[in-house]
Amino acid sequence: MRQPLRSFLQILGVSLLSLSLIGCAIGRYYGGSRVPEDKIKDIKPGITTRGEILSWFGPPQNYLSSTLLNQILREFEATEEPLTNYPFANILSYQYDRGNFRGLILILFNYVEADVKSDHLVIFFDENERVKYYGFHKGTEELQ
Amino acid sequence: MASIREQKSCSRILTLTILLTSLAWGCTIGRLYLGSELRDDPQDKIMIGATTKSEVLKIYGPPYGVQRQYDGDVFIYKYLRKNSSALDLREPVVTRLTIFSFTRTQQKADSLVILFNKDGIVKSYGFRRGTSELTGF
Repeated sequence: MRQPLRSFLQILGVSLLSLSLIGCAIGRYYGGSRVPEDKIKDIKPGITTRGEILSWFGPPQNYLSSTLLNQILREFEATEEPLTNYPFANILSYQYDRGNFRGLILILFNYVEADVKSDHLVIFFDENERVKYYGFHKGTEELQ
Repeated sequence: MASIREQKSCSRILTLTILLTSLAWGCTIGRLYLGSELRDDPQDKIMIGATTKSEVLKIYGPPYGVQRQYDGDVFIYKYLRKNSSALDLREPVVTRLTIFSFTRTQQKADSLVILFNKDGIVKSYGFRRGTSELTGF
């Protein structure tokens, strides 16, 4: 092979190689404390009191400050509101958030994906401070 | 003679390659999935005047938000998706000029709003599967 053609191919090869450099980014977010699922079966509407709920599950989310995840979502203009919104005294809410972030970073192309799911327990109380009804959803098991 | 022509052609291609790579351009695609999908169609699960708040909590779990109105509570369920794509062409070294920029962002949500009466029975509801309106790019 002639010298100029060989050097051209070498330069082209190096250029192509540098263009195809692959970067991969993976992020994980865990926010809040896990909801103790073994205690959920002990919740009995009309019987379980607010005091028992607080001793089993600890301080509820709706009395705590906004999470880091909320700040991130606000930063990326995904949502201005908190992930859940329960401004009422007869509702207690427990939430555990997980976010999986993946990114493929090439020189000419980037792909970024974020998937955020929550385990969430919400409990409504009646006027006698006893559980009226409750709901639980385990969203984190939907994460891939 | 042939080798001089070949050299010229090589140097032209090389100059063009250097010029093109000196312009930083890139395409970015972003996807955000927030919350859990509302799998059950409310038409199959909710009966106006019969389904209770407790049953709704069993079917759909905790709502995204609760609003209190004078005639009963409102449960709000939401599954949000955001697709974004961007193409940028810049000169990164000398002028740092953005020569061309294109951004497209779509944010859609599946939303379910359920209104209860004071006895905690479903009074009415509204549902929209907005995420089906999302396009790929």
